[in-house]
Amino acid sequence: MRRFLAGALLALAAASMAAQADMPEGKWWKRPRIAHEIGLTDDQAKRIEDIFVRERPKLIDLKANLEKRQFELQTAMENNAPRPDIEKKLDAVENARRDLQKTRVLMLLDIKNELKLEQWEKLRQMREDARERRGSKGGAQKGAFRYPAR
Amino acid sequence: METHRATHLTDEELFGLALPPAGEPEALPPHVLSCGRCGRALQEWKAAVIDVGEEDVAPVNARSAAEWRAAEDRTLESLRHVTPRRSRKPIVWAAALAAAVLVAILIAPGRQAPVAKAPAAVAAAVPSHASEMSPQDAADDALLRDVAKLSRGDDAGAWGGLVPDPAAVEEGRL
Repeated sequence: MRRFLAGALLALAAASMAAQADMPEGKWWKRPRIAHEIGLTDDQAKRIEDIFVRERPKLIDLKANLEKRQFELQTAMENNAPRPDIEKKLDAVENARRDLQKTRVLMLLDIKNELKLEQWEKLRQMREDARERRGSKGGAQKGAFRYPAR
Repeated sequence: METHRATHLTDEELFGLALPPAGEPEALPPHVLSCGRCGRALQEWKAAVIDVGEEDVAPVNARSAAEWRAAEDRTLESLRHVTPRRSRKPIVWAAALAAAVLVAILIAPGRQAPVAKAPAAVAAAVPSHASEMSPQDAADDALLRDVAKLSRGDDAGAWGGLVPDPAAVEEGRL
């Protein structure tokens, strides 16, 4: 049972890494150019929107929680709090980050499942092209996905 | 202003300038060119002449001196009952100003001045492409970008100041 769970978690982690790496950031399904490029149907866009709307309250809460924990840690560090206190707050930050990450990745997986394979590939290709363009221009921020210029 | 007063053009002179005899080029006195009041008055006269004149050009060109005087008198009489056009100008300007403000408001969201934001919000500034979205979608877009950065740990955490950022060192920012 443990092995099964470990395997499932590993698969989830791998899938999540893939989803994160290839999924454009932001509300890309609402960008007409991307939607047109990958042939996103209205029905697909609606289902993706439904997934996001379902998860939005959770994302807002978890994001706020993470920011609060970050603030607490920052305050503790600025006030030269004892090491154990800072360690606890650091754990709290990382736990909050993990919770947020988990919710986000599961949402991305749900969104990915709404796309056809070729749509997914096009989305990946668009992101790859954007990365290359960004790389050739230089000076772009790490990890910041930019959509192709119109 | 006082220096101009003695030389301001009379209504008759303005009328003559606003409706010069056919075939004669309009020669403006130097005073009209330098006096804003007379310049404006001449423009109003011209506009009034256009408003009031309902006759065809050909009969106008064929007028005798007496007919010209009669037309002048009629125009003067009409002008005394016409609301000065000057009063319409503020409305026109107000409309133009309102239109300009509206355009500025519509354009402004894409180029807002930087304001103090939470670190994550700064890191996930909404790109200009957000302008093609509704306000709610743009807010959602910003949320998703914030979440992505926070969950990846790209944001400057509380411990960010403990060690120098290697990239910043390389770029000579530190």
